[in-house]
Parts: sequence; structure tokens; C-alpha cells
Amino acid sequence: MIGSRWFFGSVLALAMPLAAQAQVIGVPYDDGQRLPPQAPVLPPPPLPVLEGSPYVIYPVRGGTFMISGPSANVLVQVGLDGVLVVDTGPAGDAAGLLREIRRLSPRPIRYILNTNADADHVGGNVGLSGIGQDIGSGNERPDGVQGYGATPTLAHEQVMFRLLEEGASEGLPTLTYFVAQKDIFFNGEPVSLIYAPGHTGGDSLVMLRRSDVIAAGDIYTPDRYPELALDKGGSIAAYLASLNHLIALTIPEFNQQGGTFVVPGHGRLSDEGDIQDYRDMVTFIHDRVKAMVDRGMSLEQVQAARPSQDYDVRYSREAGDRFVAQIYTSLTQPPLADEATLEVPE
Amino acid sequence: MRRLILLLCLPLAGLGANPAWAQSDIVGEWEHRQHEDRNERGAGPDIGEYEGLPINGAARYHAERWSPSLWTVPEHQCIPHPADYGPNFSSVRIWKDVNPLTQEVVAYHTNIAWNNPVRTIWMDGRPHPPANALHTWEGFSTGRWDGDRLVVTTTHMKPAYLRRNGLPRSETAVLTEYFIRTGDFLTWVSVIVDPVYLTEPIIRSRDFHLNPGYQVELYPCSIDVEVPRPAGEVPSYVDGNPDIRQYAEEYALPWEAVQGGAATMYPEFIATMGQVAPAQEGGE
Repeated sequence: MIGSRWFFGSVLALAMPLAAQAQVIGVPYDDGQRLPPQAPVLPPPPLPVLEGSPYVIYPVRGGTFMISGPSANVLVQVGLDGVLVVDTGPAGDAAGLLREIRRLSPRPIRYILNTNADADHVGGNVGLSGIGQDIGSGNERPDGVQGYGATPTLAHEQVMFRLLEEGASEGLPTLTYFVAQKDIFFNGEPVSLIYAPGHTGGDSLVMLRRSDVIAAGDIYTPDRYPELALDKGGSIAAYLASLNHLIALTIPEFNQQGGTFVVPGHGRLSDEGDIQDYRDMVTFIHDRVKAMVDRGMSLEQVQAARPSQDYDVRYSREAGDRFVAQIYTSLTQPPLADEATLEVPE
Repeated sequence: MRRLILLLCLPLAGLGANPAWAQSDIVGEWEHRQHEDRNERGAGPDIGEYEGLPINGAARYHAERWSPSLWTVPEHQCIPHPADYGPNFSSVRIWKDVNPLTQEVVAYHTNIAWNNPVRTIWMDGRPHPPANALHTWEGFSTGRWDGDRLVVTTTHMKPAYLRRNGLPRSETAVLTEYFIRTGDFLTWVSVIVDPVYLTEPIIRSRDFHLNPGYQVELYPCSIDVEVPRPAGEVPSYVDGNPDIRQYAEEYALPWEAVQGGAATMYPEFIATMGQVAPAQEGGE
């Protein structure tokens, strides 16, 4: 027998380098960007931008997409039942927005949901609802259902009241709610409008439960300071409560990222890791202003102390002064709107 | 006869060996050598220790109000070190994906300890995403070879920190890294440019030694409420940390030096100590 130790030793000497090569061979990742284990599943890359279009379409998860443009973000959900749109951008932009939506689905727009009554969120209601089509009843598929009327528009009743006060006669919500939550079922998943005031008295979060995506409206705007519309029912207390409620609704997949995705009213697609940083900012500035208010400082004195200076470098000093003034007013003056009826869900 | 067989086999073993160019490849398990900035990378910096960092007044203001108790907030507990801080802290495993049809490297990946983040460095020339794409802790990285150096550019990082004592780093920062392999040593140079909180780039170099078979420590993080707080409370020092001067006093360091700023990076600053006006607040 050939000396077995020498023979097998030689075989081992040959095999080891070949085994070492094997560990560097991998599989290229597809455009779904699924990363190795211990990393969350991230959204696919954005769609190519149409020539001349100001919009970028960011796939979020499944049939949900964020359309980001020069104004407020729009969340679109597409499926066999049709298209659901959360916020519609400013008036005059509906045609451009519709062109982007048609890249995602040719089906009718069945629902419009508004997170608040701001013009950059509801301006396109008229343009988009007029071409849409309601589902006849229940959860029937559209193939066997005769559509009728314009697309129903859902929002908190405060949105309708505010638009009426502003003299609007069209583009108004057709279905409103005044309790903690309004639920529908569309494209195979529960969709909830969750009352979350703070920016105004009529803000809603929109949660797509199976997609695990939330449209936050102007409760979360990572590219700017919050806007507290105090004359429209906004307040810092309600805003912080709603922001923390949003955090309670989000569940990250791994390492405080991924999992529930959030489409902000303005700014980048986000997850809980982003929202907690924004919540911290608002809380820090609130706490600093409140401490100064408790010491009896005037607004001018508070602004001179610049309690937002570590964030003004991100947004601007002017915006910081305005936000500080809104917090100060919210803390020191009686609410301009009747907040007694505003329920902040726990 | 046995010796003859062995001698004949030895050249054949060389057929499976890595080619010579692999000396510039960075794949492997690399054990960190904390010879540089040891205290910061180990136990961590002191509160108020900012010397040698080109921070502005806004960063200083934020850090002086930062509370370490922030780490106990549930949303903060399992945050991994971001891409620009990770090399400071841990050994690393680096591996690559190779297209079996073209044998081109598609991506490198890194995995470090402390919540075990996995980072991807795309080598296939894909562009960075638009501004409103999702940001991650490790960001979006693309790499290219510059001779024997791997140059990596990272954007789209979530807001995080420059140091573990409250110095912030914004989401607009751009990280440029240079991976330089010399034999069994890897030098990892990081250049952080943050237009929000830095007046000049921060440049760090970290050294690693090849240690095949090294196991990155697992860190199974679970979120638990250990400090009961009212809902929404986020700890901070509203009026500034009252002990912010403790570091300077304990080590008898000039206050203007420990407050940081770009001037404190350069040896010429030593000549000016005692003559420098107190650092200005407000980012100016």
C-alpha cells in the first residue's frame, strides 16, 4: 500500500487551497437589495425619473410606493382592487402626479385619504377624484362591479371643517371620522386612519397593516422643523403625543431599522431609527423652552437664548426661531381651538 | 519513494493557491489593534472631551446637553455603530460576492461586533440613490480600486454620533474611506465631512491584523425597559451638564483646548493656549 500518511497528507495539501477559494464565491444580489443575514430587508431602488418630471417614485414594500416631488410626499397603494392614494399634492399638479401613478397601475383610483387639510396635501383632490371610481359595495373585485360616482375621499372631520372655513366648495372629504380611528380594507389589507393631531387639530396617520407602511403626514417631516398651526388646532403637547404614538406603531426589523416604513409628509423615506431622532429633537427643544417658560422668560428672551441652535444648522435659524415661538405660544397661551374634544389615542 | 511522491505533489498544491494580486484584497478576519486613540475606542471618551475635533458651536451645544441615559431609551438600545464609527470599536470580518460568470467582485461586506451590523460596499458602479431614499446606519457605499487602495464613498447614513459623548453627526455627512493592505496588516482610514456639525473633515486611521478564523462577537440585542419613565420622556441636560468641566479640571487641561474646534487639531494651537477667547456658541 502506498504510505497512507504521505498519501493522505498530499491529498490534504492539494485540497486546502481549493477549499479556501470556495469561501469567496458568492451570489450577486438582485435589485431587491436583500442583504446577508443580520441586515434588514430594504426597499428596492427608486424608479427611473421621467424626463422633465419633478417626481421620484420610491418603492416601499409590495404594492406601496412613495412619490416624492417638490411638494408633499404621496403614498400610493396599488393592487387588484385599484389604487389608493394618501394625499394628492398641490392643486395644479394633479396631471403630473397622475402620470406617475399610471406608471404603477392603470386601475381606477378607488380611495383618496388626506392626512391634513394643508393645500399641498389636498390640492389634487379634485383632479384625482374626478377621474376615479368608487367600489360598489363591500370588498368585491372591480371586474364584476359597476363603479359609480367620484372617488371617495377620507379624512378627519376637522379637515372638512377647515376646508369649508377656507371657502372650498370642491375637493372636500366625502367620508369623515371624529373618533380615534377609521378602518377600511383595500387591496388585501387593513387600512387605518388614526387620529394624530398636533400639526393641526385634524391630522391623521394612515397605516397599511399588512404592508407595514405608515403615511405620517406632517406629524413627521425630517427635512424641516415641525409646523404647529396653532390657529388650526395644533399644539406642541398633541404633536409630541402623536409623534410618540407613531413610534409605538413602528416596529423595526433589526438594529432599529427596517421593519415598518414611514412615508413622511415631507422628506426622506424613513423607519423607526429616523423617527426616534426627530422625536428626540422636538422633545429636547420643547424641554429647553419649557424650562425657560417656567423661569418666567419672555419670548424674546427665549429666542435670544437660542434653544434650537444645535438643530438650526440643519434647517435654518429663521425656522428655528419660528418653531421656538410656536412652542412658546403653545405652552403659554390658551388653545386657540377647542382641544377638549381632541382625543389622542394611547 | 515516499519523499519523491511528496516532492511531486508540492507544485500541484500551488495550482489552488490564491494569485499574487490577492495581496491587495481585503477579504478576511481582521483583528483590531487599539494602539491609536486607545481610551476613546475602549472605555470611551469623557463628557466634555472634544479636543482635536473640528466641531462647531452647534455640535458643542448639543453635546453639552447630551445625557448618557439616552441609551436606556428603548428606541436607542439596539442602535449599532454607524459606518463612520464602526472601525473604531471592533474587529471585523470582510467578505465579498463574486459574479460567477464574470468573476468580477459585485460587493464587499463587513460585519463587526456591537449589534453586528452588516455593511455592503457595492463595486459594480451603481449610482447612489436620490436624496429622499431611506437612510441606514451603515449608509449606502460604493467602492473603486485606486491602485492597491480600495476607496469607498458612503452617503445616506442616519443621523448618529462622532463620539460616544454626545457629539452629533448629521444625516448629510459623506464618509470617504481608504482600505490599505500591507501584507497581513490593514489600515482603514476614514474621512468624515459633515457640513452641519464640522468645520473641517475628521480623519481617523485604524489598524487591523489578519487573524483567520477570528469570530466576531455576537451581540443579540433585545429591547427592554429598565428605567421606568413617563411616556415620551427623553433624558437630556436642559440647561447643560453641570459636570461638563470635570474632565478639564481632573486632567488640568485648558478649557479652551478641551472645547475642540478645528484649531485644536494642529500643533500650532499649543502656542496660543491661554490667549484664545472662549468658544462661541451657535454654530458660528
